[in-house]
Amino acid sequence: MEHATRLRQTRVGNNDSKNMADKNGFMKALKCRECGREYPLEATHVCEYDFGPLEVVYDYERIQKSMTKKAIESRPQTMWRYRELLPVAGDPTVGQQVGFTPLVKADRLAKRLGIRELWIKNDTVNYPTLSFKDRVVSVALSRARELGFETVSCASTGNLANSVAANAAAAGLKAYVFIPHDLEQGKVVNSLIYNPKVIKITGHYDEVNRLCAEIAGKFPWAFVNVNMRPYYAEGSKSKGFEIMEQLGWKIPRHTVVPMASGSLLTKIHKSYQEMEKLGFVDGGANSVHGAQATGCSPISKAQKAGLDFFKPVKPDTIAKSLAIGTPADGFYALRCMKQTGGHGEDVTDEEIREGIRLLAECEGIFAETAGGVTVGVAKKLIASGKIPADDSAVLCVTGNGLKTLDAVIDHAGEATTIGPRLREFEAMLDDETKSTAKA
Amino acid sequence: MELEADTIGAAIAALQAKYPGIEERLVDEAGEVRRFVNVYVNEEDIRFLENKDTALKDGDEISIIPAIAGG
Repeated sequence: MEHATRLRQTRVGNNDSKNMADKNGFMKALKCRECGREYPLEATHVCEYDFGPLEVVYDYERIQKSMTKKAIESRPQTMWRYRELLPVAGDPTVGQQVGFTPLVKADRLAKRLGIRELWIKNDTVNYPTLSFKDRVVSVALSRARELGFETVSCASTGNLANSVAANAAAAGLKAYVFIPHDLEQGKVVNSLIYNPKVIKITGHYDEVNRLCAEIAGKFPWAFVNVNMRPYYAEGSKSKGFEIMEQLGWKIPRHTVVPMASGSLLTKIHKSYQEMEKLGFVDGGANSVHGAQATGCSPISKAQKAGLDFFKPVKPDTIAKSLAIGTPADGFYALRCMKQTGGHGEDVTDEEIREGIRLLAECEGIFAETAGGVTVGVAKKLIASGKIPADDSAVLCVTGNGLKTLDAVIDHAGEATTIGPRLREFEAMLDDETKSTAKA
Repeated sequence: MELEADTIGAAIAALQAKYPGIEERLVDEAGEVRRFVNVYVNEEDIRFLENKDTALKDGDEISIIPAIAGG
């Protein structure tokens, strides 16, 4: 572990604060979320004392001076417009074009779901690999470069592997991606095409993850979601920053976030808190809700039962991108929901497909299964009054439907086949009119 | 390794006797097993049994594993 994580010593010889700032940007240290012990800003993710996860600590005083609304608004429309709050010391060298995806006002879907106002934060079109993972990967790889790594890696349910493979290729970094062997074909090809090494593990995601933790301890590689996790995870905050800016510097009253490890939900919440702390948005009631698939819902089940901890499960759902049975941030996601008055909810495979179709039919957005989960859960929360009909909500849609075609391939309806004759076409229309009238 | 104990709490005390200092790595100031340490008795998480009071019998297998971040 020593060898793998201490690839570059932090040379702080004379404690000069300007040198520190140049070396570390606006970051101060890594800190254990449990006991508060601090560590240097290296590739390490676990507290040596109590195994708690480490988190990046920022110098908010210095950030306050550098980051104003005017400064942000003058920068290019990418996630890096918020760079003081992202854990990269210098300018990003990977993923400079990522983020600032559309925030779409979804009036037709709002009407169908029975809510006054609805927005879709649409990462189905994120650059370059059509999922929110490009946000966390661009941060992890930029930072990995700063720390001297030449090989990057990940354990993945699919989207992360795609993103690491693509961004590593563009950055000239070597990449190894580890996936469960039964991942959708679209996702596997979507990684292979960039020519990384793709390794299928005959197990589910949690077993892939455990193996990667062992490999990370032995090889001097940057595992984006293992030893680089404290930096990687922070990239998700950019989704929340963009939502607030695109709403005119406001925190949404309700946010619905899909949960795999639970990390995205906690970082969206953190983004709201940071913007409030810096005075860019007003505080006030805002609830963050978590969405899972019923076939893998350890966090939502715990939330509904009023528990502070979850019971690990073996995933069984078409929503493979959310199929993490032992969610690393499950505890913190539960705490966020509790603190903000948010709710956990989950949906069946059929409800997931319905959610995908609803979003596509109403708003012209084709999301992957995680998007179907988010829409399906929003529907349930609105129907049950947990999200009041009078309120406004933002749904975090995290990946493109082209990546999970398998899930909807026999459920997207049928095309009609006729011969190339006008009378056949008119007869078809006639039949349709008659059957609509009957119905 | 093998040890003799009739509850998880007693097992941790026995470990402490053999490896001084290990107890505070596993157990917090309130006396509970730390959140990011998973303890299993025959593959059952003690959080779903009786936590530190979980009773042990001859031949039981205890696993103490740091919770692994990921995903």
